[in-house]
Amino acid sequence: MTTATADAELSKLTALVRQVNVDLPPGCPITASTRFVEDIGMGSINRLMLITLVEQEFGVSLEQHMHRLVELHTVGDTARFLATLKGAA
Amino acid sequence: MHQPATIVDGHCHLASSRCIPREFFLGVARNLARKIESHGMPADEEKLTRMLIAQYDDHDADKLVAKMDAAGIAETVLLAPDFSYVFDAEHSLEDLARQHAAVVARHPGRFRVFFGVDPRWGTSGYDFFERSIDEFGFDGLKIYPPCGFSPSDDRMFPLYEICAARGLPALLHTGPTTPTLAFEYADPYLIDAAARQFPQVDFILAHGGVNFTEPAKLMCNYRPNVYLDFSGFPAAMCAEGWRNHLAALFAQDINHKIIFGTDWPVFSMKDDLKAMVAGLLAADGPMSGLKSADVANIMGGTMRRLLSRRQACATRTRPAGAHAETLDTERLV
Repeated sequence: MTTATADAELSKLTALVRQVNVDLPPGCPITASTRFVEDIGMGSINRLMLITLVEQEFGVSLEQHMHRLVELHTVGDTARFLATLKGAA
Repeated sequence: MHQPATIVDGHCHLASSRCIPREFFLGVARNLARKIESHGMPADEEKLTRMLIAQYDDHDADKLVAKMDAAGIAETVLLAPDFSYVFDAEHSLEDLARQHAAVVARHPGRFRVFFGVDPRWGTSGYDFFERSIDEFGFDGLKIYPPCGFSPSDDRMFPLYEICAARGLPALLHTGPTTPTLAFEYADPYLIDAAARQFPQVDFILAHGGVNFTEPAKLMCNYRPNVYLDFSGFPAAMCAEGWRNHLAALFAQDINHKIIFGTDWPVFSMKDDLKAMVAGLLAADGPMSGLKSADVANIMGGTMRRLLSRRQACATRTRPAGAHAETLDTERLV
């Protein structure tokens, strides 16, 4: 996986995180280190919506990876995991 | 805030798909689907069900122990409700017991188990519960009234007799649950008749500090053998947020009756165990104004005391066949 690929995945994921968290203030930064729960208060519904959007946007199926996804606490960790999945496809 | 010397999670479950039937998850998924659709997104109930089940893969509790360590939780009470009477279950009650016994053996000193038996199984169920105590070493009774019975139903009494004889607590679900079950039996007041009839049994109103809080705290204040836990607190339906909700609960002078519980893994996509404990014990958290002794009791001391009342009693107290004849016909329903 190249740095450019990882950056691209992060950029796409960041946009989706913002899409499912419509209550976030416009200026609120979302970066690789942003934590889903502690920093932006995402609950179960938002995380499931994010997973649904990620499946559509990234063209991957995440059902079998749920146990792994719930252990990923930051946007950056999740972007790296998604890049790994796409690389393995 | 003083960190309590010992933290005991009084309400937890194995995150194992072998312990919870698919129909339970399906109900949860239906509610999630309505919420997702309200955000203008399509939701597939079947897919959501599969996504929920896929998270429950910690069959031997290795992941749970790692999370307990990170959170500073010394010991955890695993609750194993019996859904096999109302839902098709791939795994039997025997499987459920053996899996929990294996987890206790795999992680010495980390787990206690409150085991459930639906009272409509009748004599065979009573016998199995007794066996679960004597053979598997479990520590209490888990009651799930939304499966379709009152916790004060006469058919529960043989189970309470076993608890009374051995000094075991009985924990019952109160409040909402999966919509594929009946909420009408989830009222905390329904334990009153049993609590009066079995003063030797300590009854714990699970989620009583979160749902139906008014009746639950009244029961705790006025029935000496009734306690409550506040498991599920991150999802408390309270406009002021769960911290204010719990702060109000802790100001009712019933802290000697309140037990900490996480209800893990129900809110695993929202809060980790470490985050739950840290939120409770934070300098600006709901326990910030409490005396150290109250914090210690809530976070583990009271549950430890209830568990310590267990008596090494191997004798059978239930009159042989006392309930068997009527139950044996009813269990075929």
